[in-house]
Amino acid sequence: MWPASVPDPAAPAGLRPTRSGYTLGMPVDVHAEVLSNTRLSPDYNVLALAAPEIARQAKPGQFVMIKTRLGLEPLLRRPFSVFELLRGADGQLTGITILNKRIGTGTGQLYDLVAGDRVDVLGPLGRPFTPVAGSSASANSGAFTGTGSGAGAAVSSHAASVAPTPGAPDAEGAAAPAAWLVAGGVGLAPFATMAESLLAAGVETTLFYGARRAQDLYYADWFADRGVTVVTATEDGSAGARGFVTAPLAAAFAARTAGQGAGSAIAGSAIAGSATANSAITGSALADSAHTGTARAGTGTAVESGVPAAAALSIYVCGPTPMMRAVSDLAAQHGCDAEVSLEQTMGCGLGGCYSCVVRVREDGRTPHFVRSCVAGPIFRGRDIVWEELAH
Amino acid sequence: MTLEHPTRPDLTARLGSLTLANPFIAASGCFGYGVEYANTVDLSTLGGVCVKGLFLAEREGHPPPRIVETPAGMINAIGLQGIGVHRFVHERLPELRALGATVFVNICGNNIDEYAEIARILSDHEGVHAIELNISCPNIKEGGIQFGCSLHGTHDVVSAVRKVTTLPVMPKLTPNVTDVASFARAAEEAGADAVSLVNTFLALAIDVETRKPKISNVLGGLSGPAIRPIAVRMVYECRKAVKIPIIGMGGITSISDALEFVIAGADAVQVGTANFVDPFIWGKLIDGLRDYMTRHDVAHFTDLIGTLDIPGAARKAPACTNS
Repeated sequence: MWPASVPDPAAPAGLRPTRSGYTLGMPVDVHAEVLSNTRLSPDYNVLALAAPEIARQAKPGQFVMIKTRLGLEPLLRRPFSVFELLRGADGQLTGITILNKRIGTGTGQLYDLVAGDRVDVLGPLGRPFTPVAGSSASANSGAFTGTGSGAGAAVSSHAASVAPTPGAPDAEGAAAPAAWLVAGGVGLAPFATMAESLLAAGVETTLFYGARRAQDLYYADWFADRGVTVVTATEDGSAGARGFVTAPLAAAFAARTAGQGAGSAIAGSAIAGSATANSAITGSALADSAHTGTARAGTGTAVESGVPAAAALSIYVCGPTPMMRAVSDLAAQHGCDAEVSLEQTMGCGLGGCYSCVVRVREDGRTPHFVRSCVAGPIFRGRDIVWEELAH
Repeated sequence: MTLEHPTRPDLTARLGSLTLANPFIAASGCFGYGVEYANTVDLSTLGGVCVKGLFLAEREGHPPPRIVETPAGMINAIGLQGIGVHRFVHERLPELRALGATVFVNICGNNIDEYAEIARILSDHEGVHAIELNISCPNIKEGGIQFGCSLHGTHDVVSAVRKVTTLPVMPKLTPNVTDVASFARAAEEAGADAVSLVNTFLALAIDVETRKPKISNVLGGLSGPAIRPIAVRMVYECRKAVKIPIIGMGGITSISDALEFVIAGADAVQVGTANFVDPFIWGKLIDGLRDYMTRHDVAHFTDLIGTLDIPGAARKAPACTNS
């Protein structure tokens, strides 16, 4: 995706751009013991895997390739986002979890595993989310645990139109950067590690979380307990706003554009699991609104007239393709970029097979295929040629 | 070194003038341009790296879905997405050289002149050790397979490339013909230094619910353990037909699988699909070969080639019917 000879301005902190994609140290293959298998429903489970070597290296948005069973059926590994990082009593990283949805042979095998079983887990792989520009994350790598970085390396491509220049001193009293995570169903998977990183870096974090029904909104409390503002939507209206999660998201954008912060816009929104009737965007202002609607001093932010120059807002999306496309479009309408986590059929996860390609537009180039395993799975939404994606 | 094994087995493999550290070569199309794997394997420890098929020009390849899993295998129709030979020699080859890889370059042309042109360009650059002629990709309309399915075509491509390079030249043969051995013979007569076999088997997988093909190109190439016994048989047949070295491949996932090809007559092997499943397979193959040779008291890898022992019936005619 990036020519090796040209330093990649968008390279997330700590990454070494190569001709073939991004590498983060050495991916390892761990014959990992299943520590637990928590079945959330007849379709969903969370598998805890003893893989400290992977946990120590993993960055939010990265994935692992899992051989769901020894032998030839199925033959290939399956890609999964790293869901949670597991820590022992001493705080040391001990493993990861994956959020699995049973849809076929391989995912069915992962659903059926029991503690003590073992699976081969290869990772971490792929390009992670770009840290929030202007946060302490981008300045000192706090958002991406354990990764040394320079501010320059963290210049965010995804928020080019709204992000302040990393390293630029914040104006006194300037709003904190904010991040909106937008998840649909099993698309929640990459956001647990992302939320922890964002919160650790002092980023005001909101999760917009959509599912079919209230009982499908797994782990919403997990996010809320850690300080994430959770806004839910269900297709049947059994929790949060009725319909797709793009509705409350659109309302939040509208509120933001109207000069109110995201935090204000979502006041009173439901934490999943405690479904309320008023969980949709209320539009009411909160005192601690992060977004004042004023441009940050000294950021050099270029803002189209009519769109308030809020503090840095970073948007990250994972879910069904139509939803990611809708969110990406919505963000663009409001002068923001969104980073999306694509899930294409992968053969190897390492750039060898060329099966997981997605067509992207890059500045000055004809739209072309890149491998989502090494150029992604995280992409800038507006780079994707959405009309060619399946689903 | 231990007292029990005062000398380590010699894993060196030979393909004519080319000497390899061991017989394990990463198969074209399954290892990117090699550099993708620099973080998982020391490329200099492999017998060779056969890079993804290159045309003269860049190619986009087929739209996804490009692969589908099938029992003990997979069907692919990538469509030879690639950066073209010019970008390869400037952008990838230097890194491969720096990594110490023994580089096989798989090439594909729209016509014979293009094969020769690519071979010429490669010959002008340090770091290319051999040229594998892709005359067997089942997934693209132009070029390739039209030569691989014709004895004259095979002969003509090999001789055209032979004339323009001193690098070892080895066509990669398709299994989608009645008699692979005759193609190996045509290649040998045209001056090939070796033959690679087999490429994938033309295949089709259908989603019965939608009645649609499972990959965008409709047809693709089947690889993986599912094809291995057929591929071993084809190596066996070619071994009897030609004297030039044979690089065997098709569904190798273990040292035992690899040894089947060697015992059937392969001088080296390529591993493709298994690398997708286990990118760390290379060390396991090398260790496995060393263990095998130690257990069987074989000093030199080359002593294993073509050592198939058919009890009492070496002179039996090959069975061609089910009688």
